[in-house]
Amino acid sequence: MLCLGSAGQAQDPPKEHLLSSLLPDGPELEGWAKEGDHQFFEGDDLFIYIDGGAEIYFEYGFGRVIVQDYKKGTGSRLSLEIFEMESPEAAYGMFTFKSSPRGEPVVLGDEGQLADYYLNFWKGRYLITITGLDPEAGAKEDLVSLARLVDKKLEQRGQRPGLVSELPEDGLKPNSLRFFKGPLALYNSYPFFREDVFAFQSGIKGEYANGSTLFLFEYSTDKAAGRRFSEARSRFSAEPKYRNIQWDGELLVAQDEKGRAIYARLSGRFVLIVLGNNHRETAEALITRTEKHLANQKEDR
Amino acid sequence: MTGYIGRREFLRKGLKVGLTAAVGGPFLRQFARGPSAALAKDLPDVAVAWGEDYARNVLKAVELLGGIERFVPKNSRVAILANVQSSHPGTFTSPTVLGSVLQLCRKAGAKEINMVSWQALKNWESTGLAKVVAEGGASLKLVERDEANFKPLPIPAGKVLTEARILNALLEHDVFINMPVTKDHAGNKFTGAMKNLMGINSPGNNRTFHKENWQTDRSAIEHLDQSIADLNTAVKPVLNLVDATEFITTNGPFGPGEIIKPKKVVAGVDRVAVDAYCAALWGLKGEDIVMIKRGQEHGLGNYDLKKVKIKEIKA
Repeated sequence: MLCLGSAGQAQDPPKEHLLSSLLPDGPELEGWAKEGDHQFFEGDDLFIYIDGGAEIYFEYGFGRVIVQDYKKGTGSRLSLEIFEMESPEAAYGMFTFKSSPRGEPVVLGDEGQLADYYLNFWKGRYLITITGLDPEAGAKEDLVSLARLVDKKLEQRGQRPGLVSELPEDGLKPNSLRFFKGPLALYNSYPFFREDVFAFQSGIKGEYANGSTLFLFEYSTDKAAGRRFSEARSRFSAEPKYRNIQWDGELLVAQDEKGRAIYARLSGRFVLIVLGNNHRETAEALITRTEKHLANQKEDR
Repeated sequence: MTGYIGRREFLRKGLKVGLTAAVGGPFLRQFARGPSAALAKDLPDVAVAWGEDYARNVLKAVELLGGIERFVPKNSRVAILANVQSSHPGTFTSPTVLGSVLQLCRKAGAKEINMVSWQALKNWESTGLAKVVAEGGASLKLVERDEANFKPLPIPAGKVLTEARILNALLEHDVFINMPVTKDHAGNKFTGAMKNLMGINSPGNNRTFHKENWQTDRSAIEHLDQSIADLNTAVKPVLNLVDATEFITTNGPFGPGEIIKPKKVVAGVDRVAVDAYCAALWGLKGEDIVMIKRGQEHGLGNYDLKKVKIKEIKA
């Protein structure tokens, strides 16, 4: 078969070699062994590997990926993917995108999460995904053991994007965080519009114990945020799925086709949106709390 | 005769929809002949069988649609398109489901059964599908991604896609069965019968579905959906049989992601209705999926599940 990506280790070019050196091998695998050659994809060739699912990686900032399957004597198989993203921010973003709402935290890299049959962690600009290919047979310990081997080989750490800390922590569900760098990730969290109406620099979403979901979109300047908020207001009015639109000069109120309330406000270079809480006072309180939090953070900086 | 399409009408439609003349043509003729067309009037648009035994679900779903003989004539050459994009659980057509379809095709007297695909052999092997194909008396017709292996096909009805590039290998068959797994898709929220047809279109052409001029068009998420609907105007599978037994509802289409297990096999001729039914399995509405809406606008089927005849049984 023709494959535009490359396989094998015989003549690894430098970038491929760097990633292949991160693949656990030999005695350290303790019962596991590589199954077949690795696959390597760089830039646009990601389409060959993840045709149809590549854009989201590009939206966050993708560099290259190496993929290696492992097999245990009993027949269990694991797939290891090491994505080298363009920045720690990109790695963190994809990590939140791929996180499971039911996953459990695991101490790996800068942050890790273990789900039923798969595991994700990020460290520096790397995102690592390990999947049990035979979920019935897969043991979570195997996922974690393999992940630890990769973790040890990665030296540089990263930091979460600053925007994450702008969300008020009280009542925030940790697994619900989603960091956005573009419209596709936002669309997958909540499809406000099919077009890129908000056009933010970056965004964050968090769900709260009281049923509210908070979106916080960041812009480079107050003016840019104001322009986008103004555009969004008219689009809410024009979009048939939204009804009961109200605008009092500060707060935009709408209701989506499922009857969920939406409250949106412009605050400096941020747009804040609370979705899903039909109790107006509670929603407004969260917006106010976030604004205070933003102000405090600004003073701290 | 209900649903009869005369030769002149057949040719007109065939010319209008391009490949339908080459691939869909024989199926249209088949639908128009004998008792099957009359039978179709009383048959469901969407047949669903559910239960722990996925192989049996296939048999029952096809039975609800009038039996495999309605779709696979004796001595026919059958092409099957499965989804084998990823080996992560819940992202590829179940080997059990495929095995059961192969069994049905053999029972119908198919002369030849081939899996047509440009996906790598590694994918077929790591998913377990290659083994099922070999055991089921079928063959893998895998082609390289070279554009020479694809036939240019004008799409007169296309709104954004004016030309597709269809696997040459598909054209060597009389019957085309579409066998996707339904699942999440980061690009357009949902994948099922309609989107699976990208598996017979060249990867190079498919790239234009996702990105115009190879660049991300941030203001046109709809472009992918419209392209898929356009492609579907040109190629009509005789049967869509969707694996909805176990599939991912997040991080699609590649996974890994959250898996749900409706344990269902969903079959039908109407791709739009089949997709709308599958989307509803995880709380999506057909009308909210642009691809499904555009499919209905092209006259490919009906997404309104209140107006679609659905028959569902526990197998």
